[in-house]
Amino acid sequence: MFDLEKEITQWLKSFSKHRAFDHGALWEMELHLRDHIEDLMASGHSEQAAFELAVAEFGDINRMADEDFLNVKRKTTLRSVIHAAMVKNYYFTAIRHFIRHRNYFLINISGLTMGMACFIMIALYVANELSYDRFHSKANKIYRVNTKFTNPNGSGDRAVCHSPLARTMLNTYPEVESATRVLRIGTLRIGTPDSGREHYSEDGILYTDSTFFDVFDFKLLKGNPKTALVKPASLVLTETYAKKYFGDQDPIGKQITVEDDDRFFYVVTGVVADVPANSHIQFDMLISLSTSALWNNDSWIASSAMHTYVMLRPDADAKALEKKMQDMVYKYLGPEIAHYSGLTMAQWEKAGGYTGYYLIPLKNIHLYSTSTEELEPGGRISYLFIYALIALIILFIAIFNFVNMATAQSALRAKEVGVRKVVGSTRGGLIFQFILESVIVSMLAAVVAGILVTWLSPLFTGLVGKQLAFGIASHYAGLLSLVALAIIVGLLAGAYPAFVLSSILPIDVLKGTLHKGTRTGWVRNFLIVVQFTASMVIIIATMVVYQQLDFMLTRNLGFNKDNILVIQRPDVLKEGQEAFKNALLANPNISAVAHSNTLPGKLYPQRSYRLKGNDESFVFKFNHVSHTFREVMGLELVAGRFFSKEHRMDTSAVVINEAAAKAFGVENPIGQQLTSPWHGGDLVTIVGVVKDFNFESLHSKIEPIAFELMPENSNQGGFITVRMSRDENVRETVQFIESTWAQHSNGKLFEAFFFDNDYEKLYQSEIATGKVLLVFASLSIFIACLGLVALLAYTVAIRKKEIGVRKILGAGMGSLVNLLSAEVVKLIVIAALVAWPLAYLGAQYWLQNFVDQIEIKPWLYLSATGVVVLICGLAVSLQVVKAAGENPVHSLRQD
Amino acid sequence: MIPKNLTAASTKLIILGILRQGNSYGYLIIKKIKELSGGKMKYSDGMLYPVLHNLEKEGLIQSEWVMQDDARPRKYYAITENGKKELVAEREHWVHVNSVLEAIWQLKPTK
Repeated sequence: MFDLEKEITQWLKSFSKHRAFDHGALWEMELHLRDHIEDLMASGHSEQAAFELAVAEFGDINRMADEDFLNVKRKTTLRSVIHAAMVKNYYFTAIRHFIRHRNYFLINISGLTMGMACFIMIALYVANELSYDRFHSKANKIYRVNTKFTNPNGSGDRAVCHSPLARTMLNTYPEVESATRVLRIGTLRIGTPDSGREHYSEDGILYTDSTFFDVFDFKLLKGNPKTALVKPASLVLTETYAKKYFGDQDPIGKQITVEDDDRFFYVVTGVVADVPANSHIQFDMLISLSTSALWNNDSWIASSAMHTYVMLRPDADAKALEKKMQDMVYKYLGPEIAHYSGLTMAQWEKAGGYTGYYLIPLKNIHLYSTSTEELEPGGRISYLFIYALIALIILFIAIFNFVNMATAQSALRAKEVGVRKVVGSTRGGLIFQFILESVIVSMLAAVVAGILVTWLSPLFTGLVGKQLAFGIASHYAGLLSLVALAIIVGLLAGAYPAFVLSSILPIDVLKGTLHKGTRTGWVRNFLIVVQFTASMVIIIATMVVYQQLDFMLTRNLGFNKDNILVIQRPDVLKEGQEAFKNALLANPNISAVAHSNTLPGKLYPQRSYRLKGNDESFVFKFNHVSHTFREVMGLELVAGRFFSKEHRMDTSAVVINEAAAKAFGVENPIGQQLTSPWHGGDLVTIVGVVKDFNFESLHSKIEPIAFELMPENSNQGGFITVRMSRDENVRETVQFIESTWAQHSNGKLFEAFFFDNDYEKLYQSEIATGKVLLVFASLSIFIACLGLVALLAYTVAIRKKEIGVRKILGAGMGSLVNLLSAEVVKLIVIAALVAWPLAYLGAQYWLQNFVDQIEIKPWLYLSATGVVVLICGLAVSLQVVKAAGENPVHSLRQD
Repeated sequence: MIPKNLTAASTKLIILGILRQGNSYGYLIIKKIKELSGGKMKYSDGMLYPVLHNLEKEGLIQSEWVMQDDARPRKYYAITENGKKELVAEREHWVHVNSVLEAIWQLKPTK
């Protein structure tokens, strides 16, 4: 049987082999043939005869092709693809298309906007973190001297070094151009002439050398940077603090008291611009280090350790200098080690002792420092990687939505593509058109995202727990990057759809053989799997982070952190400390009160001990505590006893933990006698062993610690800890404590905090990461679902008729739901199978940060998958149920 | 039957001439040529298109797709101003050739 259409298609195919013919030429010739056949049939030829005659008269195709090729051969230049007039046409076509399909368009653009907003926020945060300390013009030459030490019981890395080192380096090594020290003391009470008996309690105070402004670029607004911090008791305020203390008056020359000392006035010598948020050195005021002679003497070990910054000459080699710096250890530190430990340097090193200095570049301090005693808690580069990864994942989820919708909707554009090709559009021109379209969408999304980010930035800074030094609009570079982002996203989102759409053949469109939405199905499915895999990985990661946090904050730490109020600066009570403690105990809600030098989660000093008659030294973390410390903290005894008032000789007693007992390696530590340089020639005796408890962060393993009894009414400062026996009446109890403090301290400032809150600060970056993950995991799954809903809505729309027919033929709701959602369920299952191993590896990587890790249970994976399935199920079923519930008459009546 | 090379040489003139009378599309043009030559000028239809495309490229004619709801779309060709000038020049060449030929037919054979 002769099939004219088939024959014509076949005939056309022999044309399309030649590059000479574009779609317009092909169509032109097809129409010629059809006209001819029609005429021949009208004059009495049969269909077949007419076709054969027409083809014969048309002539040899190859010759024609060679001939025509000379005409169409032209260079494909950008200008031949993009005509200025066409760009305008493309633009209006795009706008018309958006308006006609505004529902899909709105879903598309809101997903893209959300994705971009998330990306921009996280990118801003990451850029802020990476910009730390780079605003100093000499940042490349500035290093901080850190101290590394090792002893038989562990090692440490401190952000500080011995106080005379700065001066020594400046005098010894010509590479060092300048050096400055920074000392942070903690909270001090500041009084101004106007503040009367009221005092400001300030903790943003740094003591610094006069060279501070030589090394760093903090901008002095008033005063002379060369002389502002030279004289003792000179004080430089930030702009905000100058305003806080003196309002609009000129602060220069004004007097300030510190710690209620009315006999000694500090003089304001300068006003400095507020410290940028991306500085690891944060302060509200600077005081000259020359204020105390103690900070400037030649004692190395007994001096306060300080943050020491050196600025090297441009040609200096930091590595070489680092090596030379070890000489200082032998020359200056050695004699002092001998003095305090009784060991020569050789003996000390033989026993495993080591102290060394190293230089850390200023720019690396914030993200790479692993030292303790940092001025401000640093960031972690590994978390930045996690954040950056999440940002990219969310952006790509949104881009994939766009790609999926655009390719699924290709049927809507097919006619336009057909016509454009026939009238001579080249493929390049079409690709340009569709990419331009997606760039327009992405520009729009970027503008809205930029506004959203600016508007929501307080929420975001609250989430990550820190201020950002700059926002999207604070620098032209930010706006430029926004434009760049829009173009890149537009290109990424538009490239594949443009490729698909421009490949549509006008012949398929004209014949109606174009399959609606089924083309490129596997790419779409692949992208959906990637989206849901990413979402599931983020959800599992969030659950792991939360579980680990929960584990750290609620597990048995070895002490009880709840219901403890910590009072700072008990030394201001002077001789009244015992009386104050006794007064508190009169309240039935207070069960115990203790005094200690430091607390779990805070910094610990160290002390070295030797077993009597043994040369080996052990350096332990150390805490001075009162008799009741064990009661307040809820420590468990494993052997012997804790300090007790009944034992008057407890001033020479030591209580250790299990780790310390293990370090000594003796069978029964109770009764063992120790020597320690701190006790001169006196012996101290181990009276008890407490069970190991996490006195530092759970990031590190439990180290040996020794306790000694704190003398009564000690002026060491430290903390008074008050254990409240009941949860209720907390407010009244705290009020009682405060009024008791007021009576005993002669009206001194009451500074207190709840211990559990403070302890949780140790996990601040984990808590912030957890929150960030939670928010962005929710957003990622939301955006992914948005894409799925749009896709399904479209599928349902084009399968409306099929659904109608099926319903009429008796398909029930169940089978229709199954029909429409089986595919989605299949994709989600695949996504889950891919997500699980990825999430497992990611979780293992993150958990390495912790000594005690949670075990990841299979239910976690299942429940993450369950969450995704549930959310998708809800989103999908809304569409499907709506479609399945529709009256088939409506969809079938349309024809 | 007119030989092929002669047909090819005159195609340009013929097409421009036909288009001077009004816009037309490929199939109609070739139909017209066949009619005018009384079937003596024989083309393979397909060879018309490279010529049309070439003329368009040279700017002598221009084309436009005309889409109508109730009829087949057509690609109409129209002669441009340049095309008209070219037609005049071309016509003069042919008149010249013709007059040479005329003169030749007048010559008597010499013995």
